Amino acid sequence: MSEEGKLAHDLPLGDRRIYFSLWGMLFSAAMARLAGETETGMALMSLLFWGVMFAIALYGGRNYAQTQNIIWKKASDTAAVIGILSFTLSLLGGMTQALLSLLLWMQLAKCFTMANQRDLFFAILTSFVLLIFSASESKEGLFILFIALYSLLGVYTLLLHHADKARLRALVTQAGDGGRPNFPASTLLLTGAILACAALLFFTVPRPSAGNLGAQLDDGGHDYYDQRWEEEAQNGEKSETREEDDRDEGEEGGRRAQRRGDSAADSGTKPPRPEPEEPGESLDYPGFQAQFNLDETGTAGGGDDTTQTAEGLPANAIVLYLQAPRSLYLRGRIFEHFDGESWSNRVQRERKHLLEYGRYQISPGPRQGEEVKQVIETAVSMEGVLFATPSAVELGFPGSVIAIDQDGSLRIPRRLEAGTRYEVTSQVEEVNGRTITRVDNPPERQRFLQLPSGLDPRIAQLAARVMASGSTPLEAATALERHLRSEYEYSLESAFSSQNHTPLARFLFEERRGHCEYFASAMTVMLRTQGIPARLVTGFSANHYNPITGYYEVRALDGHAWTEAYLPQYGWVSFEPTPYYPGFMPEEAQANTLEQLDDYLRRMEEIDALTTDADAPFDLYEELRRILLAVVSLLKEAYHAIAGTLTQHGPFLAAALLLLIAGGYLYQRLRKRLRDRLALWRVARSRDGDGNRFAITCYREMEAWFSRRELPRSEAETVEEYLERLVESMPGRGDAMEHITNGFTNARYRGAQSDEHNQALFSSFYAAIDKKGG
Amino acid sequence: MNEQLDERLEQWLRHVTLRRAIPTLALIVFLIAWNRGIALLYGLQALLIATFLITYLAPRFNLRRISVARSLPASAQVGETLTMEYRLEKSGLRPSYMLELFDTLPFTGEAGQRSVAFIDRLKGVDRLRLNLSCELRGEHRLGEMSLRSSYPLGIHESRLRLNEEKAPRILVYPRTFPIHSLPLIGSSQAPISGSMAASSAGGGELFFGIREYRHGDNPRHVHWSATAKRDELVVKQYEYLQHTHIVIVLDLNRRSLYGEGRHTTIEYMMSIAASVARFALSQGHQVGLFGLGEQRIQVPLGQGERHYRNILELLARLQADGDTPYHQVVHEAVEMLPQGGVPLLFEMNAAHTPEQSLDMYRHHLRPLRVRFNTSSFLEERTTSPRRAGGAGNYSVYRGDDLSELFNP
Repeated sequence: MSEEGKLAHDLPLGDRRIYFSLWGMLFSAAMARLAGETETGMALMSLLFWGVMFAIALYGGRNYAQTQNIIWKKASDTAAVIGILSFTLSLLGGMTQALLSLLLWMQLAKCFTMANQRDLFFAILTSFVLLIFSASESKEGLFILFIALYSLLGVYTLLLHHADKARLRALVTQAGDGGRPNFPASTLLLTGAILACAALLFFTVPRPSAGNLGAQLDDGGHDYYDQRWEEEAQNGEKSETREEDDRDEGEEGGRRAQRRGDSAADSGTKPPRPEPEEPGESLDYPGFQAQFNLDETGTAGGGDDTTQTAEGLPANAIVLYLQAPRSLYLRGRIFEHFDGESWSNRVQRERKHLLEYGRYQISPGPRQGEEVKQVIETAVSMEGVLFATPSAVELGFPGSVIAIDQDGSLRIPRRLEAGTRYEVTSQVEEVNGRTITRVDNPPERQRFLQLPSGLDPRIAQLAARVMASGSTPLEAATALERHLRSEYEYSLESAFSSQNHTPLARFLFEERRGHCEYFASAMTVMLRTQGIPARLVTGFSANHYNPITGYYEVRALDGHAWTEAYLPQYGWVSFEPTPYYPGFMPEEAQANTLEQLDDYLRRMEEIDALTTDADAPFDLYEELRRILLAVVSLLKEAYHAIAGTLTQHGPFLAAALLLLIAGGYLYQRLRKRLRDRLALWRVARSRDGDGNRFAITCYREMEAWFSRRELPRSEAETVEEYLERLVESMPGRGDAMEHITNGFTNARYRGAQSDEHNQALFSSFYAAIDKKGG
Repeated sequence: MNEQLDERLEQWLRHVTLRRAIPTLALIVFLIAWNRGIALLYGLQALLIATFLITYLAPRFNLRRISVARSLPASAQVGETLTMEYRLEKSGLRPSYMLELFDTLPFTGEAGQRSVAFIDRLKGVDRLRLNLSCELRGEHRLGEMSLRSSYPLGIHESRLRLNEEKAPRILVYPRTFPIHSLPLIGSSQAPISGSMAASSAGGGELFFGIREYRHGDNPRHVHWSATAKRDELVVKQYEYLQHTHIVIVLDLNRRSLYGEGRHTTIEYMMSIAASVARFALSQGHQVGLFGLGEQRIQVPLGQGERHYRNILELLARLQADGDTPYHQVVHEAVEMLPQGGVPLLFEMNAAHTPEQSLDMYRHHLRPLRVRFNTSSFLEERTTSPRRAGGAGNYSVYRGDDLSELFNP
């Protein structure tokens, strides 16, 4: 290896500020890494630990670089050993966590002996790798703040490093030997430019759809093991339950069942379930239970408070993140039996299936339709149902066994814990944008044509009237869906009491407003009155796409119910009768990220309007989010204003810009010529005046003339020395230059330049600058 | 084995630069983002690309509207520290940051451009003064100057060639060292007496002392009063204040050039020639210069400060560019000298040739000989062995302190 090469890598870190800014980079990367931690207290402790440790290590690194003190080497070795131990322990939480922990400890170890530029680059690389991992894990849009902070510190670090390197190379520096340049303004400007450019690329460049090549599902430390289910799966038992089988709902489900007087709440085969979790961390939307009453549903769970669920979870709290190529309806439970107040299943047949290495092929044969991969991560605890879009063909789940019922719903042995990640691949078929689920055998018509006793006859009449416009069952059902979406109003506060009578009639003919379960129930029942088999489906509507994180954010209020109708030509066809939800429509052209952001913000505003509670306690995180949203809204408005102006006055603005550029170019080209003209004019004007003054003018203009031609007179140079240099450069004009210089010396120091010599000086001036006309 | 691995790793790491690392990282991040469909990773990729783009454009804008002029003294001497001044001017509202000024300064002995100054921020006019040591004799025209900027992160470099109508020149004279005395036969440095002194021309005489009469002494120099007192013949001894003629005979044969940089035989030769000329002229002797390079170099015998300046300027510019064998040069040079004159001869390795000896004898010349140990000039060694030399003979090794050599 050449000396030069060695030198480049072994150059010391001269500027102390590099250590400070590097600490900032490592700390912000660690901060980004810990931002996703659910336990805030633990995250803060961890952050404090890494902040202090990196500070000590970098202080040690600086000291080691100067003194080679062996104590820092020992500290480095100790940190490395702890890193290996930490890696081993962290394996319990998953390989990714363990590797990241090892990376942090190894970097800490290296920081203790950080002495040269190579060490610096490795530290920057480590921090960037941490940032990549954090970005791949983060579901929060505010993560861009970490990216911005990291960029600022990164620019500052590299700026200092570059200046440091250049300073070491140069013989002399502007700031002197001990001086250190200041770059804060420059850094801010640069970072701003880089971030603006990055934002432009991020929001405007289209992205390809995900490749999903060879990705391994990270179990996130969860394992849904259940011995009894495994035994059932191995024995190939098919369980069938008449009435209600709520074996998995535990005490919560049992309490509700008792409240309803339903004795079938627990069949005695209930698996062990975890301790009830902290309030605010679980979602118990009744629609995900085996049976639910209409008056229990709605975000408030039957209350008047639209800002939170019955469990105290904020209504706009994110309960699930979905990564998918487009918005989807995630199906959870399917209900067939409606008694006028509640939905349930009279017959429940399901079979347990063992997973191999966390994977299960649900439908091994080839299926039609578009393959849609969904990666779902829960943010709160919820019922033990796996939500997925219909026609699931493959499942990846951190457990050993699952159950699939006769309608294709997926269940797991116990409640879904917060942070569980699973993936489902579905073969989605659509008709006019509606998801359809093909079935091998037609369903039992009686199950799906069941009507509650004492149903208000007006309901059937209304259905018949509305559906009469459709010539086919699909058109008829679509007409009914359209009617409900257009003639009724969505409201979260519409939990009116049923008073032991079907609430549907009141919803359809009196209140004309309600939440999604009313709409879905009404449509299902109305379809049944017209002889179309239908069922009610609960799950989530995932249509709030956050273009910054790339995830669909599913909130507590997105717990939803809709209708599926069986049309022999297609199978089960989905309908969305609730007007608040976008519904099933033919897919539009892919919007760019900026448009997606606009859409996301609009939806966020809607959610805020629905769920804001004026009395809510101050939440810093929420406030920050709102400030960010306000800023983005402002930018969006600015963007629209600029786009509008450009559209309206585009040609004029383009012409003005062109003129400006042309003007600037001409000025650049003609600047010297203009100044020359001005110089000639000044000399000509003073020719008839005082001799002394004229001589000085001639000299000054000559000096300026040659200064414009890269021959300036230096401050330390006498007029004689300057003359000598000029003559050397332009020997042919020596006499004229000397004449002007002598004239200047006479005028300046003796005041003895006669007016009579003006003409001669004038001629000399023209000769000196090699112009005719003197 | 480990060393080889380390060597390979080192070589590989040498190629890891930010310019390569950033696009590579952007590609890796893109692949991860594409595979897993993670928008924030697309954000990081956009950040990397933006950094690359901005750092590509920034240096170009950074170098706009900047002019640089340089000035330096017209002449200097080898070993002297001179001050160069750079005047940088940035017009416009926006300052420029982190500029590196590169200059070609042949007189420093370094070939090619090198970074001479680092400017953190430039707006308006700024001046930088740089102290440089002159290392190479000759007339040097300053080479191309350029301004470079890798602002802000050192990823891309942009260069601005700074053209001057006429690049400044500097004449670097050979280094001179003080000489306190030279064994010039017949000069004031060697007391002579009687008939020997009489054979030399010119100059006055100064009573030096007395000694006993020897056969052959001129009877005119008998000191009669001392003879009477001592009762034996005693003659007067005189010191002649004689102005000797010295011709410096240069070896400009390109085959006589040994060594590199400032440690070449010709640099040593010029340094010795200049120093001897200065000493001799200061003592009132007449000095001439002779050499056959690509051109014939001949400075007739002369005296005075102006004559010294002429010799010095000539010595500053001379190069070993001739083909004439040195004995021929000597043969022609001795024609310039009157009888009894002193030629200063430079010999490479071997002792003088028979032809030279014959020339010396025929013209009654007593030469000063400087012999170069050429093999030492081919080595890196900078110390020379201690050695004894006769009067008028000097052996020069690479790295010798010439002042010490000529003033033992």
